[in-house]
Amino acid sequence: MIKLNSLRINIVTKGALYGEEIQFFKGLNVIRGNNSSGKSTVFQGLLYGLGMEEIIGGKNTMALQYVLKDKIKVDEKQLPVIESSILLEIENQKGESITIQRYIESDTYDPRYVKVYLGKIISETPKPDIESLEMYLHDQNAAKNLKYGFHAYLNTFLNTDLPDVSYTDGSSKKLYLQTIFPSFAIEQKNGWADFLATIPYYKIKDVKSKVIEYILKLDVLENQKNKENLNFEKKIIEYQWEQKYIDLKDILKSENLKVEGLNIKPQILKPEDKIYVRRMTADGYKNLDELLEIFQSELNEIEKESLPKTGQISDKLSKQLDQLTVEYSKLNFSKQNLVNKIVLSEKDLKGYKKEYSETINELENYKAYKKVRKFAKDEDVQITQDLCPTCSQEVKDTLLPQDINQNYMKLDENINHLKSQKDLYLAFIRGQENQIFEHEQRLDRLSDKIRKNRSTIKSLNREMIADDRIPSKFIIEKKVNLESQIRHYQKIKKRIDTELQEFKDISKKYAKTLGRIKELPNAFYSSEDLKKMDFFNNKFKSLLEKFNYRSYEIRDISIPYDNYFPNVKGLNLVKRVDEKKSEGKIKHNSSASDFIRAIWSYTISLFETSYKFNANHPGILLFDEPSQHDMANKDMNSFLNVLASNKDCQSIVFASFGERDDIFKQETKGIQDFHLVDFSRRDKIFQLKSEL
Amino acid sequence: MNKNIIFKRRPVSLSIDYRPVWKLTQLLLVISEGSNKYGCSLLKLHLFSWIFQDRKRKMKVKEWINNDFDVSLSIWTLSPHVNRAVAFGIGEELIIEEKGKYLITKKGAQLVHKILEEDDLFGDEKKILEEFGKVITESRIDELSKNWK
Repeated sequence: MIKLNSLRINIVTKGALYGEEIQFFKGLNVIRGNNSSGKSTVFQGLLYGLGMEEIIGGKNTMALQYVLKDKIKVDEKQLPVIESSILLEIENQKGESITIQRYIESDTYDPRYVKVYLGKIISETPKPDIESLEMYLHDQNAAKNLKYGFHAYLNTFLNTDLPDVSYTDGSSKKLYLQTIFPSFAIEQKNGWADFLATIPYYKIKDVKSKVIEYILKLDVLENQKNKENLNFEKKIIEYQWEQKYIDLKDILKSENLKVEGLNIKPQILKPEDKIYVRRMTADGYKNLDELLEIFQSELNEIEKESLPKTGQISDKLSKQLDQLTVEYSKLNFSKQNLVNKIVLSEKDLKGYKKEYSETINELENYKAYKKVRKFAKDEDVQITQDLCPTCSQEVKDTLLPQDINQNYMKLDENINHLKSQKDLYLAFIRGQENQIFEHEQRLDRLSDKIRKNRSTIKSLNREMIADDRIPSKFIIEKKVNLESQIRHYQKIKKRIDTELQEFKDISKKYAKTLGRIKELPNAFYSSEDLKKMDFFNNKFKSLLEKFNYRSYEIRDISIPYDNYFPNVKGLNLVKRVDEKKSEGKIKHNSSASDFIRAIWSYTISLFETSYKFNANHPGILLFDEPSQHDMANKDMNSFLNVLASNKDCQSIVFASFGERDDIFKQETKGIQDFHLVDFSRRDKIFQLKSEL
Repeated sequence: MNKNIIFKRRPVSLSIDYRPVWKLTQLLLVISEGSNKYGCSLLKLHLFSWIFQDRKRKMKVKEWINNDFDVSLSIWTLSPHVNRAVAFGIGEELIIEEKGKYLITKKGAQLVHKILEEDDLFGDEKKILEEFGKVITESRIDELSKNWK
């Protein structure tokens, strides 16, 4: 909740200080002032003080009135403004107050600089050493960095817990505070053009719906978040499984083993599922246990016989040595070739990847281009029909010189071309990656073989020059090798068993997550949500009735559950723009003054719904010039009456009342309890405060 | 065997950058989002068209701005296809020329308005213009082009 206490605007000229100070109270506040007396400047000052000027059309001072940044008119003379600033005192739910100071025109302070005093300094005289914090706005970190970002500070102070929402770039970040303001602050220039018309552009997906879901604290936000979380969890599990699978496959591949019964995608493993590891040998597939048996029997064979002496086997040894040496140099040659191949393949792969990403980009652009062309066609742009705008001759759809004798693909043709191009590059990339993977595996095996070869050659060489009478070292080494191999495979067996157990655990988690996704409600609206939406809808319609809305039968109007904005028999309710533009379009138009009634009703019922269900509305409504010349005075009177009856809501209405006392009397008739700030006797709201 | 070989000319694929409506809409965005009420010079249109073409160029421009426009931006291309797009724009009455600057017409503004409302159209371009559009003023571009002589 937020309550505005007081606002002070200071405008310094060469010789004097001009400005005004306004107090605001709970309930209805009416700021009465004549046209171009500075009423909107006060309204803008409130938003500027909260760093919300983007909803009036631009960051920092861009959208502000000239009186705050350029010249102030005093007695028909224009005095240059040397410095101007805003002081805004606000209060939160807990009754804590802060005062925000922000400069508009200043040589010393940037408009992005914000000073926050921890206490009241307008309505009370503060201690001279009142504590203050210095912050920045609209800086990259303004919304995120708690220590320096003003909006992050404001979020904490107002206890607004803004939800994470999706952005069009695919990221998920907090909803900006600036996006919710247009649901309760209606600005004069653009605010009356549409519901929530002034939300700044932040690349948030479906931002208007997100704002309403937040204000009404709908569970649908939570449910959607749950769904996103679960899907994320599922993705994570799939990723874990895949990684594990690839790791396992790699380990096994270097041992020339293969796993059977597992897939790269997660599986729900049942107890009867058989998973085992095996190797292709000269005698067909052997699983790990069988391999161990073979080694064991070879070892037994050696141990059975007594060790031969070197001299007994020297012929055999030298033949073996020759063979091995030839093989060794062949192996090294293949290895060198393989390394070269890998380097070349990697270079190709890089090239393919670049082409692929460029094609994707181009394809996205072409898809967007279809929409752009449609818009251009709607505006009667001739080249969308391949016609020259000046001579109506046929032109080619290109910016290359027209006289090049070449035809260009039509849009859809080009899109299809790019799609097949994309598939082609993808196939190239996959193929290349597979090839590199296979090459690397082969390289590993080759290196391993070379290593073994080398050590065998070494030991054979040693054996050849050894004493003929000692036991054959070669055989001894073979025995030692067999023993170590047996130990090695036993270790692998143990490792695979634990790995498989982990796969089973992931599988259990996967089944659970799938179950939870299935359990999610199909409709994301909880029963509480439906109650809120019903109340919102009924409130909106009863207010339309009260304010004399007549463009459509009120029974035909409703706020649907899935869209949150009023429609008439299924079509959106919009303001009637100039007749020519909307000609032939199926949109339902309200007359201008009726559309204003619709915005009154919408804005107030949004508050009342949130209030009744204790949701997130900040409990403040700001309207700049909510009346129209042709509106009946009694409708404005009903509007002010409804605002005044909402005692727990602070509403601030800026209006000129046609600059007439009788209208003011009629429109405020019967409203007992409201706070009036009357500037109607002044030509300009900002007055001389003191000489410098 | 038939001795005649017949070639048939097939339509070729064209980069999106060379599609008139695409480029034209980009230029309209530059005029409406990236320049002041006095319009936009041809050089500025060329500069932004060049930036839009390649992501790396954005970084280059950023560097240029961060160095207070001090180092000169290594030559950017003036491509004739931008001029053709401008000519189309004038023909379509989306753009008008006034005192050497290009301004957007009402018809052009209506088109731009629709484009701005769609979050998924020209996202990169909008971001670039928001960041650099007002920062790179006409006088900066003038200075830059003086260095070429």
